[in-house]
Amino acid sequence: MVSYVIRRLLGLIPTLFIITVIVFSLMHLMPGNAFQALVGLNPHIKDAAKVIAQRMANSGLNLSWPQQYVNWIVNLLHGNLGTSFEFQQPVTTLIGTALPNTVTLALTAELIILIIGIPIGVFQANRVNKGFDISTSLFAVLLYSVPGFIFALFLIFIFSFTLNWLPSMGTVTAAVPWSGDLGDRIQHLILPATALALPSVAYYTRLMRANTLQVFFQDYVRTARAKGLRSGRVLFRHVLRNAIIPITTQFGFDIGGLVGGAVILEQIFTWPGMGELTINANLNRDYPVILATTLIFAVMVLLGNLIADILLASMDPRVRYN
Amino acid sequence: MATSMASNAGIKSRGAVVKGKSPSRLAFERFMRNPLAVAGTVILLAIIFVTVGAPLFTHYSPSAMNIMNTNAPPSAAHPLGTDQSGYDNLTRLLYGGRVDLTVAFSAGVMTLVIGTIYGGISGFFGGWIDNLMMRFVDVMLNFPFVVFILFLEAVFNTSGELLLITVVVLTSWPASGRFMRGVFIQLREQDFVIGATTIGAGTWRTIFRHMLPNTVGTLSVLVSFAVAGYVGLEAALTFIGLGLPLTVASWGGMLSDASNYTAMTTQPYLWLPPAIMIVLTILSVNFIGDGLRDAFDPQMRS
Amino acid sequence: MKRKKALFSAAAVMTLSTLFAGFGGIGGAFAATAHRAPIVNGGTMVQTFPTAFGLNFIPFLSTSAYTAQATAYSFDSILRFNRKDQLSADIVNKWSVSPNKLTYTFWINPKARWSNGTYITTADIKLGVDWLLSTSYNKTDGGAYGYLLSNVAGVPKSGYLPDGQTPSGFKILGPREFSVTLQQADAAALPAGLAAITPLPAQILGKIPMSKWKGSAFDLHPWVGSGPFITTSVVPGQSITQKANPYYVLGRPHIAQNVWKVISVDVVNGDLASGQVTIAGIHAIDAAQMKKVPNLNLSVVPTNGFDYLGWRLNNATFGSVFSQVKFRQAVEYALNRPAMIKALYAGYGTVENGPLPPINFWYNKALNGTYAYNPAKANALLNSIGMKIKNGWRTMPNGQPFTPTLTISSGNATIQRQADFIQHFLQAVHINLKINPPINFNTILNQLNSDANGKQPIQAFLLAWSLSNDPDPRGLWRSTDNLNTVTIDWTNPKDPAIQLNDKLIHESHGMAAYNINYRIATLNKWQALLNQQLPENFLFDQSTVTAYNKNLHGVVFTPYGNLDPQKWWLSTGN
Repeated sequence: MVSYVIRRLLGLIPTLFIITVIVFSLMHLMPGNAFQALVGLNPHIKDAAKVIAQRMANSGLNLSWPQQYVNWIVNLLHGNLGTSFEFQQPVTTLIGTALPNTVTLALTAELIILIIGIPIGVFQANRVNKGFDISTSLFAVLLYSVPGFIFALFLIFIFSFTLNWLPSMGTVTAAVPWSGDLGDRIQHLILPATALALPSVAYYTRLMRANTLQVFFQDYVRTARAKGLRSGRVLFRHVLRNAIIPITTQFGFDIGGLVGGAVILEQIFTWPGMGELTINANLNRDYPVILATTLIFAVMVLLGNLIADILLASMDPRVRYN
Repeated sequence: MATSMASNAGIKSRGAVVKGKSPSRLAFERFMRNPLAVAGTVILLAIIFVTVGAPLFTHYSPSAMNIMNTNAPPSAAHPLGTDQSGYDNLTRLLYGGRVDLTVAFSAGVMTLVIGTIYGGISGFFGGWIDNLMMRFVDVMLNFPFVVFILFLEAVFNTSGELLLITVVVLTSWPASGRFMRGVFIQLREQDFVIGATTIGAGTWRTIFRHMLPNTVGTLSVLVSFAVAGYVGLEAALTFIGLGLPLTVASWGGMLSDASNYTAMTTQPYLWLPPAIMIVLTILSVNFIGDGLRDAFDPQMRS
Repeated sequence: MKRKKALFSAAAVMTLSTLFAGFGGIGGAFAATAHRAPIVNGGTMVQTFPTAFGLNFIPFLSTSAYTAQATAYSFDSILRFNRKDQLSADIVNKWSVSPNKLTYTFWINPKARWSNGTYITTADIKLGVDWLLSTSYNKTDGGAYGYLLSNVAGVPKSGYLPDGQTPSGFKILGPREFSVTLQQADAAALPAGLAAITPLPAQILGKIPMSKWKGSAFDLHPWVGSGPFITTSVVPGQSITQKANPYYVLGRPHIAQNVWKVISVDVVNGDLASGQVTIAGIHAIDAAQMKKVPNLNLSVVPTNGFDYLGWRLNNATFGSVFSQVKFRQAVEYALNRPAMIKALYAGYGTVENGPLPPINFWYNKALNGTYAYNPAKANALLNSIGMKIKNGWRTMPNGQPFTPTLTISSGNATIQRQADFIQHFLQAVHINLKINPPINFNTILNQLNSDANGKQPIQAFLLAWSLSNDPDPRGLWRSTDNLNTVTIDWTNPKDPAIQLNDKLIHESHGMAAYNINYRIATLNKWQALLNQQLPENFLFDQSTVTAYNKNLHGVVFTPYGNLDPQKWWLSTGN
């Protein structure tokens, strides 16, 4: 087990390498660079081309691509992700503010998904074709048919503007003594996390229902029932354990998906996270930020996948480490 | 819902099983006896019909703007009003399905076909093949749709339907491939598969005859979710301003154009129709998927 | 270029307005809304930014227009522009000019204090001047406002001095009296330059080397200021909280607390309706619906800026047509601009016929009504330059096909609609204009910047200018100016019209221009020339529509911003 994890962790390095090389190349293929916008329209800079060239040289952009890449790797190994062209701030500072927000949001959303999605799916399967199953199934399909940002707007409209129960923006309340308290933060988390989780809740419910149904018809379950085991025991000991296995696979790479999928919600809820940082960096050709966000995103996705694989192996003894 | 109706149907039909009917014929019959699945099929066909045959239902062109009549509320001439460019909203609604259905179809097919084949091979064979194939998926998974489309729009300096579909095709299969691999790894170790291999069934026969039918349930969820997800992403792209040009009608575009506080609270005729079309499409894909699962799943028959 | 989807292309106007908007700051004399009820002190008002703000709050340091807005609440410049766009007293309440127009003497208001109660002195002014001209600011931090003082005596050609060195033209004459001597007399020197000098607290910043200012504790959260509201807390990406400055030189603000919140344009209308936001700009299209919300008032004012359609006059393919005045005039006649304003901005806007918006103090009223929609005249002009119609489309005078392309920036539905409408109207006069897929704003800049030979794919483009308080045409319109070659390319020195343009611009700020009537006459002549030549196709000036809660009173809405926050007040109850 331990050696398997170590081998897999080492296996991440070539993947990360390939991803960063691809991003690095694509990035440099994009026309324009960050300094054009900063310098280009300042009427009082007489020789914009020269100033841009100077800025590019200062940032090492006049070197060859391989050289730039090597420099980036060397800096990375020293824990230095560079300085954002656009914000003129260390990239680590930018990520230091954005990443915790994103991780908090994503983990809360995952929690909501698991707490709601799995039980509902199992109960649906257990009472298949009963009123509960039909009504919640229909509702689930509705939930994931409508784009998440529409729900976000409705949630804000109902719970913030109309009922005034929850705040509509930000991670903390501005200008109050209790700003940043745990309670304050949780209040701010509820709406965005719910909006992010809703479509996935529906998805997990559907998956769980399908898996559980499939397991219901397996021989061992029938055997267990035939032996006269109580259905609750069968459900939890035999069905749930097996039905949940594919879900763990999904859960692993969902972590990455939730991070990437939150861009619009971050905008609607003024939730300063990785999504907006990434998109803006791409639009503004802020190379150091593009590379850093890609790297972090890649590490999260890969670790998520790794965790999923380990879970898969540890939950199903028939799956061997390979 | 659909599941047990089908299984009821299965019980009833069991007595009527006549020798000579092929399994696929039986599956078809089971499918046709599932009212929700049939309703889903009818609705989807109807949506495709009005979308493809849009010119039969409206005499406006989806790309003929009328600058003198913009932002008009519903009227006899324009039952759903006009938008900010003076396009007739009803016309845009009818034609708009073309883009969304293409996106839905591409996403669905890629998830279904490529995802299954890729995941199946990886999961079934395991070993270094699995390892290599999954590392490639790892790389592909690192290019989420929005970031990828942003990259490509910048590099190729273009946007539009073609690019959108390309990115859908490129990004829709890795997740399902990885998921199906998990399913196949699990199946590989099941008694009936081991049994099939033991009695000398060929690899492909084992995969197609014994393993694949067992994945239909999961696949139907994956596909309907992929369809829903990508139609939603089409809308989301427009919402953040990276979507299709305004001259191209799409449900997602109409929806995101109207998704602001004022339109949502005071002008439901702007967003309700495209929202209903999207929900109906995805609902029907979902019902069809459920119906297929119940019709084909060998477990249900016993 | 506002509203929705502005997330990205907002950069367009942001960059421009940051570069051009003077730091005139806060001024004005009387309240716009009549109030019968007695003025109440206290309360919290909430204002908004549509996207995140920058985190450098030392004046002039941030490139974010939003940060500049918050900074302008905390730091006043020595003079301000009032609601009529005229210079008036602020931290400096008296000034004079020497007979040779080279030396300006200023007297600081004896009541001017920092928010901690200490008096503002010439040491603070000197620090502000040193900062604008420092190597750290101009070179390391990439400061964009060093030009404001580049005409002061003792400033080298490079535009900056070593950190902490004061130019010889700046003299301290006493604790409250100082003078600035110029290299050359310049009628625009005060409004377009010196007025923006902003005192900085020497008691705090004087103790830190300028190279360390950026990112310092004071930069991230300036706890002392000279403006009406002083920052108390900053939550990056989300909000800035400011409290009233009890020592504010123009009077202690009535409102106790001001909060800037980042709120997406898609939800801000809801925040306004529910009362969670006190005042915010909204999209003109939503005005009719927002008027119906019971707790809101609306204000519509023109903006000091305009949208335009540019042509690369040096384009290798079609430049020979673009550079013909009659072609550009034909385009101006072909566009039904009032209809476009109605469709794009629900009618809240005015047509623009020259380089200055109609609301500008210096606007030449003779330009009113020129280029009314007239496709027949457009066709006649196009015929007159030999552009014949073949198969429904006009050709080049030499018979080659004429298929120009229009480049627009992505991420903004309004810009896309604008392009669609322009295409529609040009097609009506048989011009086969194609719209390229929208591209990133930076890419547009890149293409414009590196288009010396006219071989870049960009041919026609849509951009906007946001102007500063003083309409000094230098920087933008002279044939030798950087921005001219970037976006207008009206540079051929052999063209008599361009020669005249340069001459008029020169005269608009020379010695004679100290006579306001002379300056008006010169700028009028210059506007008439550009109106006739149309180096770019002026389109329109869209209005700013602001919604605000009915409990907010005293706001002075002007094309230059919402002035006098210290006089605003919040009534309690309804």
